[in-house]
Amino acid sequence: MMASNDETIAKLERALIEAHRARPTPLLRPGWTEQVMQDIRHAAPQAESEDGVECLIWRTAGIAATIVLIATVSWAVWSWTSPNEGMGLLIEELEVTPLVFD
Amino acid sequence: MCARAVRTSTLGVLEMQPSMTDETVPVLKTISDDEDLLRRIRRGEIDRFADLIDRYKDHVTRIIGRRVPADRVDETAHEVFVRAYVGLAQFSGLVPFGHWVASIAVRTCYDFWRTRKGEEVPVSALTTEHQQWIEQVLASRSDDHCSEQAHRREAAEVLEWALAQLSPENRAVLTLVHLEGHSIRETAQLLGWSLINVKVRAHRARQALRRILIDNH
Repeated sequence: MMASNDETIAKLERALIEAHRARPTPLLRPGWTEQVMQDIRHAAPQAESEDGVECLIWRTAGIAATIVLIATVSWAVWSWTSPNEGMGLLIEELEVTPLVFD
Repeated sequence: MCARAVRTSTLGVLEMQPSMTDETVPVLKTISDDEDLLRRIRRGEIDRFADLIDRYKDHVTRIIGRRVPADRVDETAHEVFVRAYVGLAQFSGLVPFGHWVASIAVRTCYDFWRTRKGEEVPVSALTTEHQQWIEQVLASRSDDHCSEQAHRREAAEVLEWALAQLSPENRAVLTLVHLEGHSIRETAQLLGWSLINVKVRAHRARQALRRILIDNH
């Protein structure tokens, strides 16, 4: 009984699958492409400005990251080439500056 | 379920051989032509998008025509191409443009049914004609006779009646996997869902369809 029921449903399923594939491709109304293009031309500046903002954000972030990188590398190079100069200045500063209770 | 051979020839022509359905498959399109058009559109030649529309509108209409009511095909196809244009920046070119636009078409149709979910679309009962069609299918002894029945108007109406009772998710998966023969992986790519989600849904959707058919038989 169960097998018979399964067979029945399988037959119906096959017919429905074929019915789905047999559906004809609908035709679009004349002038449809032109209407889509009108909307697209209307949407274009908006899409471009969104792209532009996104581009500007990334460009700004890129420039900022580059500046930070250059500054970090310059500082590292500078402190490596004159390691005692910075420390010397700091010591000098401590020596010259009077203490609070002096 | 559906083994589709996809290969790129030495001429850069994408050849796809549909085995069960040609849903997401442009029959023969040159990738280089699409790339050239896309390059020009990105450079600001918006009107060139009309060439892309002309190239893919039959492909998109075929997908939509099997998913939404006939009187909504124009507007749905319209939405697909506007979405494609707006989302052009996200098109990486890793897949052919035809596949990408097919994915947009499938998702737009899914959204179509999702937005109608709350509208309480009445599901009309099967008429005597439909019942008779079911009886004729069940009584058919040969495959030819069964196939003949599938091309009748009642067949499409019974199918639409059954699909109308499914959730938008089940409807989308059932259409892709069971009715069109796409693999789980293809379906997941087209809908942008996980493999496991599609697998589970495909099973549930088929069970749901079977229940609908059994209950009304």
